[in-house]
Amino acid sequence: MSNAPFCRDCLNFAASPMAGRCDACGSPRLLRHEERDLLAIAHVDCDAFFAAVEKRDDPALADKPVIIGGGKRGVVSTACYVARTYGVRSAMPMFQALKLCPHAVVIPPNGEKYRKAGHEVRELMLELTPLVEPVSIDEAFLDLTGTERLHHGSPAQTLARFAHKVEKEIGITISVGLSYNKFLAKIASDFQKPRGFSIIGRKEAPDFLADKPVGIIPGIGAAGQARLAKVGVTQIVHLREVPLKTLFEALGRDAQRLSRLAWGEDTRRVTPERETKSISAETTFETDLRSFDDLEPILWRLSEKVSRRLKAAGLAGRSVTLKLKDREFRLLTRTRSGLAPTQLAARLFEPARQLLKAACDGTAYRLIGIGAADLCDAAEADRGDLADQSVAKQVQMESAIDRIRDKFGAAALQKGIALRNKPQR
Amino acid sequence: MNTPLKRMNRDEAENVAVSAFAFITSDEERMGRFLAVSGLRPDTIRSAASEPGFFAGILDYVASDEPLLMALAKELDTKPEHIMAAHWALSPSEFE
Repeated sequence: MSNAPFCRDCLNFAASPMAGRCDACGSPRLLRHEERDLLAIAHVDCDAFFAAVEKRDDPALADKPVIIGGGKRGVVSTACYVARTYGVRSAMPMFQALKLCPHAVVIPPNGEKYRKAGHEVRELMLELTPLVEPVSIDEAFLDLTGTERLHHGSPAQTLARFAHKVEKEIGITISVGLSYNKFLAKIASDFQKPRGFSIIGRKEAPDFLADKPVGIIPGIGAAGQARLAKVGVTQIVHLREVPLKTLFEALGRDAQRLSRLAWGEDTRRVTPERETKSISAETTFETDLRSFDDLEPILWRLSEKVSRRLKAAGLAGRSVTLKLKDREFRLLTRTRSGLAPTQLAARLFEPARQLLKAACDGTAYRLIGIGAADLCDAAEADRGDLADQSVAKQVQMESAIDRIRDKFGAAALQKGIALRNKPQR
Repeated sequence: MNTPLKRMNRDEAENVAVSAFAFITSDEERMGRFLAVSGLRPDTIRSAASEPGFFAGILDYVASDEPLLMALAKELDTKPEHIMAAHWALSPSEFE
């Protein structure tokens, strides 16, 4: 294996370690790093994925600012890099995005198309290694340890070849981060977008991280940053300096993990997961129940549980299944499909409630369950467009309630099922 | 002479209440105080939130705590009177 830089366009090695351009094709995109051939954990992220797929399918959009998202009342789901130069960002309200970039082409999301492209990228990843851990429709971690002989090259070369192949065969671009653990690989992939390839080695990691804001650590959102700022922690280097006790007070049990990450240590493995087909929750009763009034509040709590699981997985459901088991252990399932994608408990509950009403014919049930299936990306869920402001209100209410339950909920939830509260309508 | 509060429709008032609720829950201390005063628990909050009086209750709570009212007005970039108008729209006095 050579330590000379190699070209990310034609994949040839440069003759001189100091080369500025590829000898073979003249490209300046040379990949060099002293630990390049020793690192095997990668994070691959598709660049402005939804917008890239749309541009691929309509070349007239190539140099136009493209925004994927709902109507005027919706939010930006993805903005292409041209639109980003105008300040348009994901999750920005559409009216604000259009104020910044009035000539943008707004395209409603086409989940089916994105899922197909995402699946194609995933298939190509699985040709490199079975250790692919999808994070969402357009990003995944890959562990390429021990693949050198199989692919006749270092993981870095294999990944450069892969990026090339994705561009050629699928028609979109990706950015690659390569390091020795997931935390740093993820940071690296974000570094040079689009069409990036960044490497963070063991030697440089502590220095590299030192002056970065704590917000780059996954899981440290605005609230976590605010709590850390109160104890004087704004940069990663501060995490190394404050006593662990102070960190514990600010973050609870996350403190230990964070202080390790601050030194670039992350022991999480790349774990391939089977794709989730449905998310559900069920419960068995101590005594059989037959009345709608008894079953309804339980169904509500299960809807909440499914909603929380969907939110945690970044998914939304387009069909809802009600499951009931009678005292003879006969299973009854009823499904409502073709729903607008949702993660909200109330919107999962409503169709299930109607199904339950129809199933309450005097039969005594010993189990009830609710599942969300036909899953899609959370980005497609609960859009407050189509003049339906109540959805936006519902989303805001649920996230406020989730915050309360995240903070105080764990203990109190234990006996929740036994309580007979009127469920939400 | 006191200027009467501007009339606000129910929808607009509920939006103010939702923003107030989001504001309260965005801070741990505020959230804790709210739960303590309201007697709500994490496992009952969602069903309580679906009761017709919940929005009015939120604004009632805000209206009874002046520093909170001022902080919320600042956050929403509005006048405290606007929040009071929402409170009034959701829980009109008996003379209404």
